[in-house]
Amino acid sequence: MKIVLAGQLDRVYSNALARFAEGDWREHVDPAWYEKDRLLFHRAGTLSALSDIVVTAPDWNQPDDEDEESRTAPHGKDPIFAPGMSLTKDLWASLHDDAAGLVEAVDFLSGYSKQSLAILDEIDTPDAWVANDSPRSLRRASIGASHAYLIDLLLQPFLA
Amino acid sequence: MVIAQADCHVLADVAKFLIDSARPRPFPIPDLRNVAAQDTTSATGRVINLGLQDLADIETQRRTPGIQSYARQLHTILEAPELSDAGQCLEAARSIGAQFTGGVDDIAVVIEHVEILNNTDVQVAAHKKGLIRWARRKFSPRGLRTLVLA
Repeated sequence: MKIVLAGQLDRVYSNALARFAEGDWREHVDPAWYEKDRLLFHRAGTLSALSDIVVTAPDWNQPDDEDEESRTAPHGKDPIFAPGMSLTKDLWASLHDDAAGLVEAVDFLSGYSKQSLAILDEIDTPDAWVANDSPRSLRRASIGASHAYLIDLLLQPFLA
Repeated sequence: MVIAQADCHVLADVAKFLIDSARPRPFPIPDLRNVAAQDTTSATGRVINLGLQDLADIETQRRTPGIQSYARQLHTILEAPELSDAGQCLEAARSIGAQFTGGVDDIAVVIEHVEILNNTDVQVAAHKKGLIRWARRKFSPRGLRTLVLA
C-alpha cells in the first residue's frame, strides 16, 4: 500500500528526520510541543510502518542536472519514503508556482476560516519545526513556514 | 492520503473558496468540506497505535511478521472498492493485532472516498489569461481514498 503523509503528519516525520540527523534534541524543544508532536508521530509512524511506500512532500530543490530519470530518495532518507512523482524540474517549478498563486489568492480574499488561521499561526512558530540546513528548512526560512506548509499541503493530495 | 483532522479544515477552506468563487483548479484538489465537518464520533473504526518513537522504530516494526500480517489486512480494508463494512473489518483486524499495541490509545480513523474538484463547470472571463490556462486543465475523475486520523 502506498500512502501520502500530508500536512501535520508530514511535518512530524520531517522533524523526526532532522532530529535523527542532529542527535540529541529534546532539551531544545518546548515540552508542550514535544508532547503534541509525540502523539502525532505515533500516528504518522504507525501508518508508515503499516505501508509499503510512504510518499513524501516534493523535493523542490532538485539539483540542476537531475531529471525525471534520476530522481531518488534524498540522501539519508529511508528509501521507503519516496518522492511522489517523477516530473522534470520545470514541471515541479510550475506546480509550485501554481500552488503558491492559489495560496496567495485564498489568503488575499480571506478564504481561511478562524480554525484554519489558528492552525497556520501554530505552524508559523519556531517550535513547530526543527530548523537545519536542509532544503525544506531553508525554503521555510525563505518564503515563510505557513506559506511553504500550505503549498506542500495543497500538492500532497496530487501526489496520492 | 493520510491526514490529520486539523489539516482537513485547511483543505476544506480551499475547496470552499474555489467552489464559492468558481475559480479554476490548477491541479486536482480534494473536496474535504464534508470530511472536515465530521467529529471523532463519526470515526469509521480504529487502527492499532504502535506507539513508535522514531524512524528506527518504524523500520523495526515494518520487518516484524505479525505487523506485516496486520498491515496486509489493513491494506485490504483501505483499498476495497466499497467502504460499507470497513468499520467491522477494522475491528476484526484490530482484535487479531492487539498483541502489538504500544500501550497507547488506538487511533480513531475516518475512511472516506472524496471527490476531486475538476474544471468542468468553471467559467473564466476571457481577459483573465492566467485563470484560463488553469481552467483548460483536465483531471482524472477518480476520487481520493482519504484516511483522517483523529
